[in-house]
Amino acid sequence: MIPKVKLLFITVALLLLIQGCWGARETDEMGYILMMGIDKGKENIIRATFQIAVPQPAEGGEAKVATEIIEVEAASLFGAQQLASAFISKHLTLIHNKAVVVSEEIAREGLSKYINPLVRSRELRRTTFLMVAKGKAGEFIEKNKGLIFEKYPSRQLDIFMASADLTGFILKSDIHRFYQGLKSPGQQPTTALVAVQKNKEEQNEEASSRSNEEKTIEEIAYLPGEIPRKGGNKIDLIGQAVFKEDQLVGFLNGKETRYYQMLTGEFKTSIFSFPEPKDPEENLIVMEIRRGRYPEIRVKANGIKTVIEVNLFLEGETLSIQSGKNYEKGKLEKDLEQYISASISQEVTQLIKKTQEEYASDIFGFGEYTRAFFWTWQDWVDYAWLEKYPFCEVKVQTFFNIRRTGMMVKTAPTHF
Amino acid sequence: MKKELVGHSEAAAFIIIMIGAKAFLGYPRIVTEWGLTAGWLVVLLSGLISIVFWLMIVGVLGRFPGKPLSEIAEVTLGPVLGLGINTFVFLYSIFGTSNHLRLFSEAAILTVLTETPVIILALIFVLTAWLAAYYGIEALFRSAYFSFPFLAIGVALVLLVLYPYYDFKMLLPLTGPGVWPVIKSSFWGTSAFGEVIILAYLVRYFSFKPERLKNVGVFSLSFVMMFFIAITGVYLMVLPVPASSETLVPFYQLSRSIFLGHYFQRVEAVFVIFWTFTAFISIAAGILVGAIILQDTFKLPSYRPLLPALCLLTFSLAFTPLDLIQTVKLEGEVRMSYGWIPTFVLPLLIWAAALILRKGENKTNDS
Amino acid sequence: MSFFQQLRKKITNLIVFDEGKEQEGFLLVSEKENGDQERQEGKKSKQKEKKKSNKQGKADKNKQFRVKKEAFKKPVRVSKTPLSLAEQREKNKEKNMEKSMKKEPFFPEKLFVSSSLEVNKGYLEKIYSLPKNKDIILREFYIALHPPLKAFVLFIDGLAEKEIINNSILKPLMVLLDEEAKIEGSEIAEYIKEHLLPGHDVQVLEKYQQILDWVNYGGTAIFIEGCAQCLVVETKGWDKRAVGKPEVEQVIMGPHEAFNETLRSNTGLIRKALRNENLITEMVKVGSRNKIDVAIMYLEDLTNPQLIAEVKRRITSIKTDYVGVSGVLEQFIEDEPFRLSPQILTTERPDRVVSFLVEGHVTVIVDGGPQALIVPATLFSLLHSSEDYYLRMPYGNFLRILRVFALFIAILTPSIYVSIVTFHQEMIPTELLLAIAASRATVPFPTIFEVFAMEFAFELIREAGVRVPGVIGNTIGIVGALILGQAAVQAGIVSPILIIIIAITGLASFAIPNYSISFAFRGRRFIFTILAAFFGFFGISGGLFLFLLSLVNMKSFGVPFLAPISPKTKTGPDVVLRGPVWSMEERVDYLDPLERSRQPNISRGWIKNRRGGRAK
Repeated sequence: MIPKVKLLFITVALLLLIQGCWGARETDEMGYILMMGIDKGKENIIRATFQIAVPQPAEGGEAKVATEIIEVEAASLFGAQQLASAFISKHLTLIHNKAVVVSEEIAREGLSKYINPLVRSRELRRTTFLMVAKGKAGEFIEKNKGLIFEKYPSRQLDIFMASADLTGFILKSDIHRFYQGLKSPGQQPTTALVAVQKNKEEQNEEASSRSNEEKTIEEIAYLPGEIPRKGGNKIDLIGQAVFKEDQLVGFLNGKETRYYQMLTGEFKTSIFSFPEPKDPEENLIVMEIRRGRYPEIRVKANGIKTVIEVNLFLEGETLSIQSGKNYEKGKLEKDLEQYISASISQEVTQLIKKTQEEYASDIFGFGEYTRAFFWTWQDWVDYAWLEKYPFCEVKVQTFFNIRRTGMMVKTAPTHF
Repeated sequence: MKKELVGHSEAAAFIIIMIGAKAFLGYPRIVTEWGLTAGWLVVLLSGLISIVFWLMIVGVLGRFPGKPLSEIAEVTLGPVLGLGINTFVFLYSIFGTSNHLRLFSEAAILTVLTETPVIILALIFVLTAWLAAYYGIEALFRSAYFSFPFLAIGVALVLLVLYPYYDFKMLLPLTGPGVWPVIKSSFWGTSAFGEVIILAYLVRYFSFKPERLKNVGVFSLSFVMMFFIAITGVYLMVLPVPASSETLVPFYQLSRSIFLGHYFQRVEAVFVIFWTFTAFISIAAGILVGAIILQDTFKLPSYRPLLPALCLLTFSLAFTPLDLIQTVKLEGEVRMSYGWIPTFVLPLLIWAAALILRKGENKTNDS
Repeated sequence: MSFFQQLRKKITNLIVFDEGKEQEGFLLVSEKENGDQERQEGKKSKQKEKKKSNKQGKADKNKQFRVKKEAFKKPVRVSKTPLSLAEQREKNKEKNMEKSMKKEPFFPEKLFVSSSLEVNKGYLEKIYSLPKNKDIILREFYIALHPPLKAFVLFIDGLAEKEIINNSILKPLMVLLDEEAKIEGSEIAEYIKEHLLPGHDVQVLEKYQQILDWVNYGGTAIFIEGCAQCLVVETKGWDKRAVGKPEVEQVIMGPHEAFNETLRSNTGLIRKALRNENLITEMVKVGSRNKIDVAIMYLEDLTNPQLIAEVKRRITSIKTDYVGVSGVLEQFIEDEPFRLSPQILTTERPDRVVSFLVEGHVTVIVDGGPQALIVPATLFSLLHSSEDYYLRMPYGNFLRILRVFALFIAILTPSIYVSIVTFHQEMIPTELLLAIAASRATVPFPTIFEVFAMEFAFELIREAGVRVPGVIGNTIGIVGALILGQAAVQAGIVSPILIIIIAITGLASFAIPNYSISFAFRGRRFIFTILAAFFGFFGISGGLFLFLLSLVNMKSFGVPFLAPISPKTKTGPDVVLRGPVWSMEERVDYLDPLERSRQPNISRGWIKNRRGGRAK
């Protein structure tokens, strides 16, 4: 016989089930927000932009509009999300939200109050990308068009962020990272920087006045929206936004972001151009540089001054030597390695100096390395690293080796 | 009536799941609140202290071979005091179970079933627990043992795929709030390991020799300690100190943080299966253990008729706190802080009483 | 002190104890021999000595039987062939009614062979309702002795081999004989058996009951004038299926023999594969109206005697009129009839039976069915296939791992789909979710309904495929799966992704080797789907917990269903994955066999490195 307990259990369970399904939502009732933008509002406090996915059948053939973009003004983000239900039949949800784009204007005022609800929310998660848009966030979302196979921006952004490993000038920045920078006494927050492309022809003319050497060094030193280009997507992801506490204080361009990532250890590989040491105006050397090891960072304090010592370990593969000089041979290789080490060290030092002097913001998290000095948490907090950071001395040393030289082992002399 | 017997592997798995269930609730948060960056150290120390406590308790049991702690209490302290102590322990166990019941139900609501009334979830937990406890100690211990590898793999998976967040700097400064606070909270922290005392109450259900009880306890304690250290350490690295005290359900927050490229993210729902499964086992186990303590206290021939009453008691106790924050406080500030009194100090008092009154010695001499 | 004792007593009395059902493990069972057993064995053993002493009193006994008959309380049981009876009924119902009303009750159990041929004939005509019963042949003839001796043979047409009757019974007795009758009376039967009949199995019997058992099972009975004994000759020879290929448990590597419907050829197949004198085949008869032979096979020097006793106890205790095939017997002897999982392993492969016999299991074979029952069964043995062992270890393990996945897919896929689509939409990649959303956009039903409709359709296809006549059986699958699925999708009633889910679930459920447990798991997936529809993953988790509890709480002949994992017992490396054959040194502990060791620690005598043999 079935025991009585079991029978009772089944009865009660059935009674419970009869009451209905709580919280079950069919896919067709839902509107999935894929990207969200926060701007300053005119009528109300904020103007939220939602990019909502329009599900398309796989066999549809012609790709129609895959997303719909709406803008709502409200006092808070969730208020805006709810207000949108006045004209969108679907229940808007943030569970598939890929990115939050914040406008420069709001970021300068302070992001803390916008980040807190995002961190508390059950729908949104901390792995959501957080980006600061130069200009309007809504405009960025509107102008963003992926390639044909990237119907939805979620995949596009994931691929963008994954490509950061290959380029180094895109910062993988999510809410988690920002929040950690906000809360930790050892670092300051930073986010990726995006913008809509500006169509400025005169900027190009201005740039042409620079010397070739400068052009080589500043090859990727662009802020988003300023890359000289034509066609393609109307938006750029390059560089990063520097925050002090929760306020935006400045930007780093693509080149600086690359060196930033070298310091944090995120840097994997990227292509660098250096002017030919002997002939900087005519020729240049292109080198693919990889992370050899994670950087060694030490912070030394002797009471009078604090020194940040950075050792970078990089490896290179020669891609191009325009001068045709046989750098593979003997001492020349060493010379080239030293030359590149020195120029990287110089750039990195410059970057750290810039954050110290211009922004006074330790976005690198050097402060975290000072944790080891202290036995208790309170002592470390009292040390107040962030106040000390601008006055630290910086020593950067780069250990660079050319491991491979492409498909050639040497460069034979050219006879004209 | 056929005697129900369980082996040492089942017992160890059962105790590990009973203790370890806390990790899916607030335990990592509580520990990091106490120990800040040294949260893992607090876990380590309290684990070691618990092992020492356990070895002493095994000493108590050694004086009265084959007798559960509830009976020992009566033999040494007399029926009135013994009954009082046993009732107190029973109430503590029911209090713990009901707190877990509430917390697990609330956690389920916060994480997956946002629109389900909390009472329904608690009812499901309680009914399942009733059925499981009715099936008996054998079935529950075996379920625990069978599901143990799956649960362990699930938890290990979460902790491992968080490797991009690993940053051991976040575990520094080494002593967190300072040496003395760490030691003090380590002592409080033994409350988290208190469930090991269940072994002493279930002595007569074990098929293995009483001497092995010590090993089972030490093994379970060390295993849980490693597990707690791992989860606390990862928690501290993923959500470093100031933020670590904010999260309501740390394990869920950890699984939410998983991000391994485009195809492996937002997977926390999968891990809901693991921690709710643990919740089912631990609540059923709590009710069963309460019933068995009550059975031994009043020398009843069976515990099964007690189950409906106990389920009802647990259920109503679970809804005594008004809101979630009150329950969280109850768990953190009462159960986790003073739980060591009924679980470790009482048995040691009994031991002391036995030593002074020379109770156990006669028994052993007789046999 | 006394106050508390009183309190305790009061509380004890207050509570009504409900202990629940106790499991009856074989450990508790006392060995009990049954009378049926002796009767069965006695049929075969020589009974000469006994019979001789009974000879004198046989006439008296016949009279006694008529006097005593009023005292019998049991209803009358006359052996009849059901088929002929049915035919007869149709032809002349009323006449039959009258006859049966008038017919005096018979007790063949108590009848003895008479020395008068006419009396015997009369008895038999009554027992078999002879002129009416057309396939019972009673042929009278004269044994060519000097002087000729009147006799008749009795056999059932269709069960007995006519060639043997003609050539080995009638021919030697009627034609080839040319002897003086030197022996008188009843001695003649022994004489004929020893000198004249060339049959390989000839017995001299006196009890009608025994004779009827023989005749009803294809034997031929010879009654001789003046002899109070009957000769029975083994002439079984009905039309039977040859040993064929397994239909359900097919393998690629390994023997392709399967049981058929004849008990003797089944036991023969097992004996052929397991050549050991310790292999015991005990016969038990089950059923009062139709006495079916049930063979209980085990290795006497290996199997736990308590297990054997328990199997015999359960089978002999069955009181029913008819047990047709092993499937029915299984339902009579299983531990937990209300649980979904089977607790007895059914197989049609003799090699599988042998592999279990040498582990210390007991096999039960019911005459008339091509399946053998193996007890006890555990979940793991139900999920193994014989091919796992025949293949090399890595391949076998590959199959095992595949099957573990199949198991989880078969149980959980629809429920996981339902929970993801209705509760946990965040956990799948955005594109996939939007693809599902797009495909569901035209579907006018909720997901749960859609899933159930498709699951139902799938089960319908499966059932129709089994029941439909063989010729069009194959087309049903194609029509059902392809056309129905395609049309449903195009009509916008079902989303295409769901078709994939259902198809994968169906495939996975067919990858589970045991037919019964495959049923059990397929049934469970409906429960899980309902739970998922209400509580998402939380429901699945609760369902899994209850599922595990029910598995853990189950026993098969005293052996826990999840042994050897939970409870943990010693076992060889063959539970989920299997080790190399030379590492399986011990038999499973939960059966408690009389001999634990299967092979020495180093079973490969040729290896030089002695540690290679899994040194301990």
